[in-house]
Amino acid sequence: MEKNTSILQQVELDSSGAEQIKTSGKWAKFIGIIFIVLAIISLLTFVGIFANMDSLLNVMMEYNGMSDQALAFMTGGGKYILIFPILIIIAVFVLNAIFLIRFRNGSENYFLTGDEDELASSFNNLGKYFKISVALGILSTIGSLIAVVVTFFMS
Amino acid sequence: MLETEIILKEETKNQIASTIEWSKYAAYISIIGIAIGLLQIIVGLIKGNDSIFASLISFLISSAISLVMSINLLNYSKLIKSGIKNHSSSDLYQALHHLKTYFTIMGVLFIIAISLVFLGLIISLLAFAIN
Repeated sequence: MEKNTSILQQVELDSSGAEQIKTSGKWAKFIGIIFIVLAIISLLTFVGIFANMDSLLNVMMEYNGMSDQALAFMTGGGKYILIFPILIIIAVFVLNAIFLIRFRNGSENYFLTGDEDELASSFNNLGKYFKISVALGILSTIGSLIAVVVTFFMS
Repeated sequence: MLETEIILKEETKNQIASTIEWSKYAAYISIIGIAIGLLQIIVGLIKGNDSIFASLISFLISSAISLVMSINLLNYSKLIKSGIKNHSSSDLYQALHHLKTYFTIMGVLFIIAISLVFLGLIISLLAFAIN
């Protein structure tokens, strides 16, 4: 058994460990880029909807019906209420992307430079990504639970 | 695999340790999500939902994927904890293997989702062109 060796030396001793982190990093970066694309698509969709809100509301009123009060509210300041959830969705995409790409960059730099601080930074970002995943998971679980209750008691 | 003792800086240990709890929570929430999905299926059956068969197939596929991802996260959490605690390189490598599997599954799912979106777009365009 070898003693007092750094993690870098261990990784060099067994390349499979390095390979695991590198592959994880590559996939994490890929997923991060997808999140950025999703954020851009969400932003463009949001801008498109917001720019044509009045005509969209008229179409919705035509097909689904909407009270005059609701229509006046939405064409007035009501549409600005939509900004917050959409901005949160975009922020989540962007933050996930940042943390995943930083995770990859940190691990990549660690193998290039051998600086263990890079590895620490890499796992710090991975931890932040997991935190966001947990927050989203809790929101999704609550939403699903409400849907189950509504389906059971209302329909 | 060569079993070796690993020495990490305290800062690195802390950062790695920060992922232990959160990856575990993410796995548990995913498993709770599966349970709620099952509840939705049962409610659908009770209420006589017309599309229950399609919902069941969708639930089985998504649950199987979620379960595999959750198990990988739980294994990552467990092994990286013991890797740090016991300074075990083999545990650390196995933990990293599970992390790799988790990200690989997620990446492949994204590729499949993107492919399906493009396929849908092509079919829509073709249908539009024919009509």
